[in-house]
Amino acid sequence: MSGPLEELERLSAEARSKKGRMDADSRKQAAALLQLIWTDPVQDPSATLPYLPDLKAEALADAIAQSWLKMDGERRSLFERWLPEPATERDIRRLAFLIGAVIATDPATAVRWLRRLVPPDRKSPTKETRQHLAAGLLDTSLDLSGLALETLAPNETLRLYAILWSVAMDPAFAVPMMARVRLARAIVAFGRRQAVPQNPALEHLYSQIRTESASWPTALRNEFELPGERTELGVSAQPDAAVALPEGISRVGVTGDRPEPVTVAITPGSSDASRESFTRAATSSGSHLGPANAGPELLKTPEKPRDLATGLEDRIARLPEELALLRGIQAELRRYTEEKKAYELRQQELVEVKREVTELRSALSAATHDRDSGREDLLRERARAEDLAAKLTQLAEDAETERRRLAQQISANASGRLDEYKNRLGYSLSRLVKDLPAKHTEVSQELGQILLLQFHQFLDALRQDGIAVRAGDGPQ
Amino acid sequence: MSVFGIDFGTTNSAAVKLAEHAEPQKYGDEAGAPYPSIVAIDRATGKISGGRDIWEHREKVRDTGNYHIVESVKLHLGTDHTWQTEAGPRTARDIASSILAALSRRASTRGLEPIQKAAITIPVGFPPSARADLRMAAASAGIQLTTFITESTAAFMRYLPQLRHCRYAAVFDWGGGTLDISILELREGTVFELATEGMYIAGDEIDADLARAVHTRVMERRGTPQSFDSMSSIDRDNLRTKCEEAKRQLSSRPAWDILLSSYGGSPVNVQMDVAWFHSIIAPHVDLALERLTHAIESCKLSVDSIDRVLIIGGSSKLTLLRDRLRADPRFSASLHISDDAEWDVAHGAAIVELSPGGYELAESIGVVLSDNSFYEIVRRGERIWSQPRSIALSLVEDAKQANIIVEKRPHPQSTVSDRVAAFSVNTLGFNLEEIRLAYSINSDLMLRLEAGSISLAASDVVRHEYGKLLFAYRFS
Repeated sequence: MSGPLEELERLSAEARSKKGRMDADSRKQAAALLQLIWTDPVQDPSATLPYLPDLKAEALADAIAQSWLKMDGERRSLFERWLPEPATERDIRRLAFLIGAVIATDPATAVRWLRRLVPPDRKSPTKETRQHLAAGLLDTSLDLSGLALETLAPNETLRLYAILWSVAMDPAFAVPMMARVRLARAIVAFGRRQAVPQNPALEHLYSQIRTESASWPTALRNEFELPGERTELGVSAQPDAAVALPEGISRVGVTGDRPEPVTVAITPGSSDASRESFTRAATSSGSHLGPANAGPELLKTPEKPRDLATGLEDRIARLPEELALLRGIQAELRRYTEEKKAYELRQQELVEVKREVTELRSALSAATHDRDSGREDLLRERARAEDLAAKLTQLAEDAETERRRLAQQISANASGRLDEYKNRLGYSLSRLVKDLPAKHTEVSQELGQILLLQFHQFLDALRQDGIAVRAGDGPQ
Repeated sequence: MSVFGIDFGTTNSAAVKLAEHAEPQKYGDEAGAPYPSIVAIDRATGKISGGRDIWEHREKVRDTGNYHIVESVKLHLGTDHTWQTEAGPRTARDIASSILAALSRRASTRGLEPIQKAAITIPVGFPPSARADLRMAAASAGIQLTTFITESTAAFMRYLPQLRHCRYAAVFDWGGGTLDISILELREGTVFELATEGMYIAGDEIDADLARAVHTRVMERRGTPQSFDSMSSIDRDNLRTKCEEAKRQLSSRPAWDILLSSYGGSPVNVQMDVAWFHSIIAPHVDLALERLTHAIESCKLSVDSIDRVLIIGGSSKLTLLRDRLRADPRFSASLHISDDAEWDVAHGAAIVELSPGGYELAESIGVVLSDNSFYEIVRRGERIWSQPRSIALSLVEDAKQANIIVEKRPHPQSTVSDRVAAFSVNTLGFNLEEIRLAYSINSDLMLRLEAGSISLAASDVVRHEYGKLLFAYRFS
């Protein structure tokens, strides 16, 4: 086993033990190891396959994103053969991230994998699939226009875009606005390339994009506006001077005294008119729906023929006014730019303040937690102290009871021992004087001698038992 | 926690209490000596009295004719012997109960705690019925007998720390009434009693011999050929008491005067020196040592192979015995002479009670089958149990009675066997008729056998008891 492979095995085991979780360093390390093995012609990439299932999807996606272009066809094929079908949630997540990993470098593979993830024969993707698509694909940095392959049927491309758009619009997944914008751009670009623009599904998508774009910032919103209504295209912002809109298109959000970018809203029942305008905008060149030079043409309204000279005169006569207007617009734009900068600054300050508030909240929460914990500790310690005090009292009572019992026992024992001593001495002495004659017995010389000796034995016995007896001065 | 051990001796009884962190407490008579096992039964009231007073005046009390004097009740336990009084017969169990109750009272007086539970010592080979009587006597005295322990094993347990390393040990227990010698083997934490020897020549007999010798000298001096037994009971009591005192004094003095103010009507003054004293007791000491040697040799051991000779019992204080043992090169190195000779057995029983081990069978028990083979039913080394077990036997020939022979052997393959029981049970006589043999060993260390044909009534079941099993004590 080679060194990188050993390390990969360790990371895989670690991820398995953590149920698939990997920290940023481990993830980075795993991606680097995989890249090293899969792009090194000397290394056998098949040895890594057993460890891939345990690695986090992002780690594998990072590795593939960095390696895919450097892998030869055989290795790519090996990887695709290994790539598990999206049966489990982990497989789905891995596939979603892999699609995101190759979409920029190998759109065909990305589309193939996307179709594995959302097969045409399936009615609609599951919630899990949608969630992982949102996480893996609908990233702000990804350009999704690569999904529109020449080799893929337009309807299929449209199906894929429609799925992604529905995912992007699902508030549950909180897809970033810029990701939605990028997706919208990709869809519009795709629609622009279509030979037959009146595709109802595409029109429906356009309709949704327009609705969505209404809430975007002006600069973004402008990308998806009907070109004829945009002030920078030289169209008067004066409501009164507004050019006639196509049928079914109405103005909204126009302020009275200040020229504002004109917002176009698609009202219900006006889908045909809007589709026509939108389609025309989409089929024109450029990334905007309506190029700058398309406005007059697009918004051309029927007029009575005029005399050219008169028209020029009128035009010349209105030029200073228009120039003034344009200067006003320029000043407004400058002011708007400054305000925008100030706004962005305030936004940054707001973010900073929010961060500080969050930090303060965290600190407050930690302090609250510490306080609660301290209170609990205090209560616990108080209960323990009370318990200990009760035990101490009980112990003192027990000790007192035991002391009394022992004192009684010692007393009884001492008393018993003393009685035993007395009795023992009594018995010893009794043995010696067991045959002591009665008081008034006549004592012969022989008996007197014996009694005297017995008396000395008696005294000896007392001495033996520790009772000092001082004998007379006579012979012992 | 405190525990009690009781030495229920032939002439003296003693109890020892052990408690944690306390010196052993000894309970005997009111003078602190072991409690004399002698009792006087009032023929009129049936009242049983005992203790030192009765011992000191036993001849006088006996001669009044108002009392039954029972000196060694232990020898009557398990028999049908009774002592008739006007208040009804008194049994050996009643007497044993009064002695045990007196010990319990003594403990209560000294330590505020009567004896509630105790291990009680018994001699080796104490009959089963005697054990049962002793158990019931203890219960009558309010003492729950927790276990029987043989006297020699108890003595061994008293000195276990000093004897633990020994392979073979001899216990020489010379008390007031009997000499008991046990040869023990210590193997793997188990004490095996290899052999026991005993004789009824002990302290009391020595006292009697001393009294006879003094009587003879007195009569020689007086020139009166009067026998000792023809003397009045008071004279006999007095002389015996004086001789007992002389025996005690001559352990530390070269001579002692035996003084009586009246013996046969005249005073007595006989000086007994050590040489004379030793000449009187020498035959007893020699006989006791000869018994010790014989006991050792009966185990096919040499005296030299005995690692320790434990000398206990009241009569072991005789200086002649100690001198002889110290002078004998076979014993001098292995001697262990107790300083607390009269209390060792009770002390050992208390140690057993404190850390109880248990008896296990030291031989194998089996049934002799029709082909003369030995079918083992109780293994050597099994702990005692009380729930009966049973085996099924069957008739192999057409007979109206089945002969059951139970034997014990040192081990199942041994050709040496002893008959435990041989009895017949009634059968119906058909081939393969089942005979059920139930057996148990109860806490009185008694084997109980019950056998009968399962085809016959319970009244045909034959029961048998056997109490001479050899047990080994496993200490914890």
